[in-house]
Amino acid sequence: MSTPDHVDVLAEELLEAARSEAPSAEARARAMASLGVTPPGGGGGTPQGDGSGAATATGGTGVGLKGAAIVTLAGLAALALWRVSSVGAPVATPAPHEPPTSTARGPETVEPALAPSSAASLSPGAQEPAAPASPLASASAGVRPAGEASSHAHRPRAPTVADTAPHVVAPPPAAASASSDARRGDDLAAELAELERARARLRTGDATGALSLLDAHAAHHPKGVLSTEATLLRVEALVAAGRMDEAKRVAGPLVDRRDLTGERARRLLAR
Amino acid sequence: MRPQRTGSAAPIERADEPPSADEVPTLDEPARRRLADLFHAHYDVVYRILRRFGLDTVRAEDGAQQVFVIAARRLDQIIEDRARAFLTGTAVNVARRVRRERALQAIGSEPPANDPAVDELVDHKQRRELLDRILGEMEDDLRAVLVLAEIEGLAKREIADALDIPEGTVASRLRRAKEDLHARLRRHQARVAQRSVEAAGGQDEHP
Repeated sequence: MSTPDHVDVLAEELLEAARSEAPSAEARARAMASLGVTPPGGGGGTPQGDGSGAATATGGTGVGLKGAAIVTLAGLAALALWRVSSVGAPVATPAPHEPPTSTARGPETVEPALAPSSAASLSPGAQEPAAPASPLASASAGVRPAGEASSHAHRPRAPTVADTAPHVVAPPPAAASASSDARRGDDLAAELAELERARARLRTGDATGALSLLDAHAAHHPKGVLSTEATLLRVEALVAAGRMDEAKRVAGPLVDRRDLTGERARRLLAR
Repeated sequence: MRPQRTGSAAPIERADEPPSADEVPTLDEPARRRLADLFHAHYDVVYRILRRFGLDTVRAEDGAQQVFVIAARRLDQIIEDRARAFLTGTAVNVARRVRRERALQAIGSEPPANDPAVDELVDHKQRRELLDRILGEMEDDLRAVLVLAEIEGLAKREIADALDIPEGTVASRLRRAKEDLHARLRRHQARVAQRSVEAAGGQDEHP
């Protein structure tokens, strides 16, 4: 039988484990795409790019977009390397490394199953133990992101010739994992930026332009994490363009879902 | 858009509002910026609250989005320094509603066949599973206060705001919640110890 003190310790351990839980980077990106929320540090402005640079997130022509995209990339690419420091939060919750909770959707999902090693699962201490807060990293409770301008300094290094030269000794597993997660962060950021651009275009009333940007998104990210959100946006654009038959066809795989996505798809078609 | 200085920070979910009202309203640029600020500052805490109310990761993700859709619709009612109270209270409401609608039982409300021994709680995931099982057995009102105070670190005043109850009630519920948590942990440990004894006895009988 345990002593009360032991119970105190155990209770605190359990609570601490709960404090350390954070949504996956993919979940965060999906929420941002769904809500039309821009990354922190990007000025919060609506992307102004015309889509001509849609091939990469940093290819936007508008200064605002470019800046936002860079910050987005930097923040997302380093997702797991950083933890938001708990500024002013009553409970600071620096999260130790832990396996990611499952973010895979059920079998009815149209999204690809997520790889087990999400960007958010990377050990925060492996590469940059003293790194400052990431605006898009898994944040702690009630924490306002800090260090918005610091993102650039932590943008992952671009691959060099040496990285891929055959004679180069393979990096240790931790480094390889970090590199892989950084790439995932890059992809996620690029995807998010493209979707936000399409959404911004739709907001201006240019449904056809939005559809073009969504086509580009689909080409760049055929198995994107945000494919469901892209589909919903496409349905919205088709409805706005008066192309209801197409909208119904595109929404087909979603409307029977008994979750938020299904509800949103049904509501879009009912407009 | 600046938040009004009047109005309640307590989450408002009017009965006439469709629970599935999940469309993000059309927002002007300042409002979008404010929503983004709220999102980046509080998304994690909202998600965690939903998880501690027994929602799995997929439902917690959906629920967190719903919380921020509600916030988007009520931006003009959310007072800046009471935003966390609004969002956490809304998260509690959404979690309760999701569980009610889907008849979702709290995670682990049935003790698993192999209750993990405390010494075997080697990682946070297992610890959270045990905590969620215990929280799932607690009175809902006690769980809400315990989660907001002990996990998310809200002050009593903020919890009172979030749950729309008097501060004194927060204090008494928190006291009871802690006592309840400790009592359940003691029982859990006793069960684990008993099982160990039985297992050892079984080995003696059948070497």
